[in-house]
Amino acid sequence: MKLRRLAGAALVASMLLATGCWDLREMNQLALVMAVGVDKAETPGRVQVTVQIARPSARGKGSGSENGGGQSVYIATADGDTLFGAIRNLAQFTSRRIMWAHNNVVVIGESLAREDITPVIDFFTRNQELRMRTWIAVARGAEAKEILATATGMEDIPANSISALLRYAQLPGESVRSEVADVTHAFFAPDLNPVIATLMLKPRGLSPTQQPSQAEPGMQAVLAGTAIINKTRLMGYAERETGRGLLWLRAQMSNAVLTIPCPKGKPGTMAVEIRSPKVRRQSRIVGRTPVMQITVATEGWLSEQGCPTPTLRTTDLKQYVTQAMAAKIEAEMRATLDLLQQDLKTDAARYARTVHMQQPDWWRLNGAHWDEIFPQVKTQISVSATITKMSLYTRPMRAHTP
Amino acid sequence: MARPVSSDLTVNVDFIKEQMGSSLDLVHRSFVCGADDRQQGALFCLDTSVDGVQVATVLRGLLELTNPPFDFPKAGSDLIERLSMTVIQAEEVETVTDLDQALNAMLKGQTVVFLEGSATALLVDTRKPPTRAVEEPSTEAETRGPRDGFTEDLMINLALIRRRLRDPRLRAENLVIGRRSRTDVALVYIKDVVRPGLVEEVRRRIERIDIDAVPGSGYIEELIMDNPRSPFGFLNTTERPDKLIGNLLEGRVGIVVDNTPFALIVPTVFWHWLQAPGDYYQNYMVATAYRMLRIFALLTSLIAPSLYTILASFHHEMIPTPLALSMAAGREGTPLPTLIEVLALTIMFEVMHEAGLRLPRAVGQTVSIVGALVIGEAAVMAGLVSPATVIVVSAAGLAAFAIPFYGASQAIRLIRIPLLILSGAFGVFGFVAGTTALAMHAASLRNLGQPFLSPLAPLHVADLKDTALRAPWWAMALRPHVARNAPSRRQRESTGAPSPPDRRRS
Repeated sequence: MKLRRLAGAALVASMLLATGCWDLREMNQLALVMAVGVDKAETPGRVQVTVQIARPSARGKGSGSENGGGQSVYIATADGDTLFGAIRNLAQFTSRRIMWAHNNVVVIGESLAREDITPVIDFFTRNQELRMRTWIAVARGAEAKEILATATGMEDIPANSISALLRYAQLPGESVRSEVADVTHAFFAPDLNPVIATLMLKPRGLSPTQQPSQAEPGMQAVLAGTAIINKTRLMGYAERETGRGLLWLRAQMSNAVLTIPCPKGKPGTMAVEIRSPKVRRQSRIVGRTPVMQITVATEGWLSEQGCPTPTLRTTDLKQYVTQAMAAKIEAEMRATLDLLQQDLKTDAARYARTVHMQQPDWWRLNGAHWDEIFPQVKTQISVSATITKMSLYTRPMRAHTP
Repeated sequence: MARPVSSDLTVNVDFIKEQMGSSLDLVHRSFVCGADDRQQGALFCLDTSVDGVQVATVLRGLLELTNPPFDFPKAGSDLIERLSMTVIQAEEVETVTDLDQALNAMLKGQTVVFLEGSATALLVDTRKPPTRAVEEPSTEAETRGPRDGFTEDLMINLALIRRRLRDPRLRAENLVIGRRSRTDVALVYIKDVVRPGLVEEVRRRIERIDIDAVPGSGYIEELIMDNPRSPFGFLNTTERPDKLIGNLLEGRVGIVVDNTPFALIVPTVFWHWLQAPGDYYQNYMVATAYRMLRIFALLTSLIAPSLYTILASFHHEMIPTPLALSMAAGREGTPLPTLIEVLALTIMFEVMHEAGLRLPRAVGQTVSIVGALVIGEAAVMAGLVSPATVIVVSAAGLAAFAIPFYGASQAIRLIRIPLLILSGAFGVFGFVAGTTALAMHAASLRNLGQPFLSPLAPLHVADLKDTALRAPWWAMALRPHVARNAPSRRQRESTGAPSPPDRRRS
């Protein structure tokens, strides 16, 4: 009896061992993808996938760097009939199993984006290893693989630099913050259009050992406005004024710097930093088309005062700056609306969502024709700006010297 | 079976000699006394466990009775009785009529006196066993608090307890366990505080023990525990009299065993693992913080290796990216799977621990140097193991020693190995299954009528004051639930937080 029980226990225990370590993958058998780029392949109808894979051995072990060395990333590209096929083809030569869970950045090449972003969205929503909080960007005027093959920023792994750029995209105030989740959400919503941050290659990197005049500046991936997608296709870009205007319209502005000319046409400029802006968007139906009412209330900090205005009183200066700010903001929004309504004919300003939510009855009847209606939608804009930071009212530094 | 003391002296002497054989330490002193040295007698004792001076005093008392007024009758059964009332100069004197009893008393260190013609033996307490001085407890050192610890001598231990509780209701019941060792075991409790029925249950369990010897309290522990097949079945032990009386005041029973400096405390609950006597001597906030720290250490020690293994081998997506890259860098070129790495290092750690215990003190340093340098540093440098594994294993090993109760620390270190194998084989599923089974098992245990996880499960909110946190004394006016006997208050009702006189309420 005792023996039988013992034998039973031994059998059960051996069952544990027989399962092996199912699904076990050690970290040094994995290729951690840090960034992925998707392009149109040279052969029509095929896609090309580029991956930037971290090479942990380059980091060295522990304190000693004797094992370290070599490139910190491994960049590889492969093409296929489908995205999945291309990725499978990558496995033909990458020695390790590709692991997507730590992917930071997805870059879509411009030529593919102009055609159709559907396969990218589809693949990245289906793959369970990918996170929806991954940053997504469009390579403007470039192929995604070019962006991936560029050593951008200060990080060992360029993908980390790019993801930091995209994370702080709101600081320059010209691009949206775009995560795969947002883009996918907009992609599938009937009343939204995706907007995606863009990256561009610009000669920005200088050499620490050579004079700028003697050496070619190195290429860097630079944030460059917002890509406007009409459902599935890239239509165009909003940048600088229109980039900021788009953020105002979408009520996503958080921080920007506006340049204001000097009063009375004097030479020089002032810079105002936008602080804690508040945007309210209202819609109503006038006749048969909706009218949007956008109310902006913002604070500004005068961060540069380069105007020779020693005689201007503080209250006058304040009045001038706040009016100039308001005018500038409204002008940027108008310029963006022109771009969206006339040139791109794409509602990237989330008007449809606002109308849908606020005028559901109207939307039920007319929502299907929004693309035709959008260019006719009128927008009323009212901007109020204030300046609260008193210490910055002072005259320009040079005005102190007699 | 009982063999009465014979009135014939030679019968008694022959019996003792036959029973003891020719033992080196047996002292047999024949003497004559009384008027005209007519009274014959014999004295037996064990040379090594008696106080020679006291034996000599007893003997002198007898020998000096050469003349009246003390006139020995020719024969008489009350002769010994009368002697015990008069001439024997010792604190404790006893008379027995059973030879076996007399023999046992002699083995305990008493002096036995037989007189010709008397069917009674005289037992005089002349015990002086070799003992150690009261020293600081080695396994439960505290920075603040008393420094005296239990010794191997039961009487000294009882003295240490008694001087802390001058309460007539503090009882020390004597039980003798062990067919051959005849070890004294004392059940210590406070009569009006202890939970009703507890003492009876403990006594019943101890009396049931039928073993030839009890060299230490661990024997008793294993023979009376409720859950002999559980890794958590062990009882709370202590070397500290202050910890013992603290538990007595909470209604528990102490089992003090002769020849062991470790007293047992029943019932034992999980929180005893985390309580250190020092908690009660220092600021309650600090004490609470340390309790939290110990819970963290306990969890680290138990689950850190398993958690690390499942993260490194199965669930890489759960690691933050920068950490994943560092871990991947450390793993470059290491030959073994993470599970084997962790397992091997854990076992090496335990080997080092064991070696450190066994090694002569003079070479103890060698172990730490060889252990730390060779096993840790060199293994990493040689690329045999990844640095993260070394960190996790040593952190878990170190954390186990932050648990104040050494028995608990051993149990945790034992359990983490199967948990590690389970996690390494089945990933997060095995880990969750293992920890859940462990929690269920802990919740199912009872220890002398008290659930192991109480007062958390079943919940007694008021008793939580002395579990993961240590409430200030002025907030703990009631005894814990385990001791809900008649006077359950340990402080006056109005005792609140101390305050300066000008702000005191009435």
